[in-house]
Amino acid sequence: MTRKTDTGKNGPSFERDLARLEEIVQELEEGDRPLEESLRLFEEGIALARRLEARLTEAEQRIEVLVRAADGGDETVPLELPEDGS
Amino acid sequence: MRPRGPDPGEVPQARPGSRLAPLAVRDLNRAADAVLGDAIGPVWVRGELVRFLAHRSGHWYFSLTDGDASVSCAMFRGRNRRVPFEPRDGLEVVVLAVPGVYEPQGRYQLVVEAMEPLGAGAAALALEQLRRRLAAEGLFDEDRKRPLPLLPRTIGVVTSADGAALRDVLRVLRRRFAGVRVLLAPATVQGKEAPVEIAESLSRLDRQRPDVILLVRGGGAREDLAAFDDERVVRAIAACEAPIVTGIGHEIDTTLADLAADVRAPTPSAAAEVVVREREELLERVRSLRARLVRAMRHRLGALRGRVREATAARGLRAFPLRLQRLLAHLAELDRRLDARVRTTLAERRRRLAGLAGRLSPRALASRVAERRSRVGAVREALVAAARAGLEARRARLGRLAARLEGMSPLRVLGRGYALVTRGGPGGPLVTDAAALAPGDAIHVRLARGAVDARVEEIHAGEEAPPGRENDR
Repeated sequence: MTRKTDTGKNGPSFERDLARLEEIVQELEEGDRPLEESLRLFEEGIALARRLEARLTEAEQRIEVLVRAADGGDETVPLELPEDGS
Repeated sequence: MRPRGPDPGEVPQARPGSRLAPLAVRDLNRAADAVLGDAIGPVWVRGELVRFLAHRSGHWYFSLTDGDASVSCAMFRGRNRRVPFEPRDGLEVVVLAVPGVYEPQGRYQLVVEAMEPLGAGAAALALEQLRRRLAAEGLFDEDRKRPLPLLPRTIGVVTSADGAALRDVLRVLRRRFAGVRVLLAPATVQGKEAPVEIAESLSRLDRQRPDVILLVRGGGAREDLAAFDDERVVRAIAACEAPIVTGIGHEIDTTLADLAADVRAPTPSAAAEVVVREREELLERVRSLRARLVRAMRHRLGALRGRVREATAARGLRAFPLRLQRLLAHLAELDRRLDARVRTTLAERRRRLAGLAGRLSPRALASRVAERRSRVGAVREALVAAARAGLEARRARLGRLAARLEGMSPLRVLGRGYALVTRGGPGGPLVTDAAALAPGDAIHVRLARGAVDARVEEIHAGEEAPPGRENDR
C-alpha cells in the first residue's frame, strides 16, 4: 500500500497542475532565471494556484448512475436521492 | 505376567518365532506393521482431529476420533507441508493413511499421507487454494498497487443501490464537501448472481474512466461476503484501469477482493474517507505554495531594485525604482494577508454552517411548545442567514484578493509605458547600463504587448537619459 504523492507523469490534471506549481516555486526561489522568464513563471504560478484552490473549494456533489442504454452501451443518468436520510 | 511386547495383542505364532528361536521385539513390531499395511493398505479415514501437535521437528502428531473410537496418527514433514489449511482440534477431516505399528513403542497408528477438511472446512480449503493460486499469479503483489489520485473528480462506486453502504459513502463525501461526481454502478452484492454482477459493474464502470473506484458492502455474516472471495470478482478488480478501494463488511473481514484492491479500507465509510482525506491538507499546500511564489518574486524584484538603483543613482533616475518599491510593498502586503488567511478556509466555514443547520433540525424543534418553537425558528433563520452572509463575504473577498493578486504582476508596470531591455534575445541579460552595449548589438525590448528586436545605433554612455523619458510616469 505504498501511497506516493504522485509522480505527475500522466495523472489527472490536478496532480499535473500541482506538480507544475511546485516546480515553478522552486525555480523562482532559486532565482537564477532571467527576469522576463521569472515574470512569466510568476504569472503561470498564480494562475495555477487559483485553479487548484478553486477545485479544492468546489462544493457541488453530483450523483449519477450507470445504466444500460437502448443500444446496449452504457449511459449515465443523474440520481435523485433524498437529501436527509435521518 | 510379562508378554513379549508391550501391547500388540495376539500376534499369530510366527514360524520363526518358536520357543527355540524367539523373535526380537523389533522384528515382531516390524512384522505386525507389514501385516497391517498389507491387509488394510492406504485408506481414506474420516474423523475429528484431537490432541493435534505440530512438533518442532516439523512432523504432526494427532488423533482421529469419531467419539467412541480413536486412533493415533503421524503426518511427516514432507507430507504435511502440502496441507493448505491450518489443522486444529475439533476440525472434521478426511485423511489418506496407511495403518501400521510404531516400532519403538509397538503402538498401532496411522501414517497420514494427505489431509482434507470436511464440511465448513472444505470451503475454507477451497478458498485457501484459490488464494494461493491467485497469489502465485501475482494478483495480490504489492508492486501492483497503484497510488490513489490526490483529488478525484469522478469517484466510481460499485455496490447495491439500496444498501446502507451507498448511503454511508455519500454521507462521508458530502460531509467532506468534496466537489466530486459520484458514478454508481449498481450490483447485487449477495447471492448467486453477485459475483457476475459485481465483476460486470466493475468493468463497465472502469470504461467510464473514473479516477478511482470504491467497491463497498456493509457488514454481514462472513458467508454473506462470499461474492468478494469469488475469482471472477478478483480478476475484474485486477483488470481495472482505475485504482480500487475496497470497504467490505466489518474491520475483521478480509476477502480476496480486499487483497487484490489497491487500498483496503475496513468499512464503506472508511473507503470514502480514504479517497477524500487529503483535501484539507492539499488546500494548505496550495496556499503555502502561492505564498512562497509571491515571496520569491518579491525577493527577486528586491534584488533587481538594488541593481537598478546602483545603475541609475548617479543620474537621478528615481521613477522606476520608486515604482518597483511600490510594487514590492504591494507584494509584501499580499504575502501577509495570504499567511493570515491560511487557517480560516472556505471549507471550514461551510462545514460550520452545515453543522448549525443540522443541529437545528425541524424535527428537534417540533417537540417544543409553539412559542418557543417560533423563537428558536427565528434564531435558526438568523443564524443560518448570518452564516450564509459570512460565507458570501468570504467568497467575495477571496475573489477580490485573487483579482488583486493578478493585478500585482510586474508585467503591469510595462503597461504604463516602461520597457525591459535585454541583450541578444528574450533570455539575455537585462540591460541597465548603456555602457554594456556597443553599436550594432542586438537588443530585445519587451513591451506591455509584444516585443521588439532592435539594433543599437549609438551609445550615450554615462549621459543623462534624454529629456522626456525621466519625466514619464
